[in-house]
Amino acid sequence: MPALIECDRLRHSYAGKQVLNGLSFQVRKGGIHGLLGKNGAGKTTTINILMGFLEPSGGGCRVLGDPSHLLRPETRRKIGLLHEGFTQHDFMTIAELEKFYRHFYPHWQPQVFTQLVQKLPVPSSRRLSKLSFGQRSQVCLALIMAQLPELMILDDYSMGLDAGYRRLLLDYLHAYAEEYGTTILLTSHVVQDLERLIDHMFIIQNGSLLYSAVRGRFFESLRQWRFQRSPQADQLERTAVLTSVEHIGRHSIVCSFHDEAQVRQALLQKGVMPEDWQEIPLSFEDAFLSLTGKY
Amino acid sequence: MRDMHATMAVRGLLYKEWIKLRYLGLLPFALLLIALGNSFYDMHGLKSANGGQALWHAVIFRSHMPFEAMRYLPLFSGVWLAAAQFASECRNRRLRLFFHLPVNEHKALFLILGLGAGLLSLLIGILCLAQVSITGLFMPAEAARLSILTLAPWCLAGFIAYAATALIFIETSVVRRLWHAGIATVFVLALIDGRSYGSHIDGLPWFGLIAVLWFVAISNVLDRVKRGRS
Repeated sequence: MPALIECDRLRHSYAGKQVLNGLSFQVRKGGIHGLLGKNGAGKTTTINILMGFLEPSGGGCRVLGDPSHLLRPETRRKIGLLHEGFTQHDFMTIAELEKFYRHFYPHWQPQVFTQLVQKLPVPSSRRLSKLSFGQRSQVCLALIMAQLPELMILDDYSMGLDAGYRRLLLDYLHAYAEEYGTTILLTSHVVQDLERLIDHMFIIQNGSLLYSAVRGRFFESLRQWRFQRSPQADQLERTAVLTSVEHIGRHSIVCSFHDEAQVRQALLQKGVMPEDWQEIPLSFEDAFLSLTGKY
Repeated sequence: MRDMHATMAVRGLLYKEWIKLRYLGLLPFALLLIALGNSFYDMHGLKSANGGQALWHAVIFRSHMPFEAMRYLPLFSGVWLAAAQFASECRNRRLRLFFHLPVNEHKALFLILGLGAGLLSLLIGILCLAQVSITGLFMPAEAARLSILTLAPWCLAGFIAYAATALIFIETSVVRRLWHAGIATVFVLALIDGRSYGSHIDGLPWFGLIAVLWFVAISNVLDRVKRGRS
């Protein structure tokens, strides 16, 4: 399966602060891919590089075969881009936006746009600036869906949306990806909605790839244990075995991709005798936070 | 196929400019009508009250300009039209929408600039023709010619103001914006400051060249902004 996006050892910094630090990943054709990470992890910088809005200071990136900073108009025509914050020409009405964008995309599907937009309780003569954030998100999504792109990139689709609109947007995306076979790359710092949606996830932290997995293998071997807190436990730090260490109230909590025996061994080596030892089931969000940290 | 895409894209870009300018673009023309009316009544009033000789004396010996109100009109129109086109295009990082359109961004930019400059040219064309006609009603052809030579630097200031305003909106660095604004102010003030008939006529080709350079600079700035280099 060909790679639609190839990022190879991407590096970038702002005013001396390294934001991307050798980030490499590939997005293969088909499916929904999540580029996840906490705020400041480097997601938006990566998207800006992918779309040619930034030239990386090191490494390279190719999108649909073109170097990302030299995307040809023919290539851009195949990419539907949802800008962070649902940026759009808000001096135009809904109808004017549809009329404007249809000129640029030969495969424009007016019915896709209409289906999504007619569910809004506002007339199409309403200016985008007069819509709520949720309604605006729906119009922006309708605009890129109607393009029938080969690759869809959604930069922080969840920003500013309440749970209802987030769910609505994901439901539309899921149905759309199934019907048209579009490859979707989305970024988000809200992960709880994504477990059932994405087929492949890339977690980035401090500008490099921290974890990558396909559906059914998300956090497959990551497990979490709780035990009684002690002065020795308070001295614990992250190691190759202990993916995360946290202390809440009277308990210490550790996560690891290693098996239980190896984790207990690692604790013993640090002088910790775990008492009241028990495994705590991990949700998708728990696992994400354990991996990336809460702070 | 490529030609068809290009034609459709041009239509799309023109459609968006029409939406931006359909109301805001009328204001300079409304002001032009007022300025022309003022010029007509000034000349008409002088001639009716004191006779043709008094008008001639005021114009030739006292450098009285009945069309004084038009000194700032091209300048204002240039700033206004560029702001109408580029404020909505550039605010809140909306220029990224433009960069992502499947068109060559430099060609698209020059189409947008061409439309704005074309509208400004139309306004200036009407201004000059109407002013020549009004002057011709009250004075000999030489005076009409002189009024055009006087208006020419003011009109050129309008084009520099248009290009500079567009550049300032596209630019992302505050320091560079201030720099562009400062340089543009120097040129514009030099052009509109003439207090006598026919000022700056000798230097007009050079100012024309400077106006062209402003337009060329916009393309370079667009490239830099797109790459995220401020």
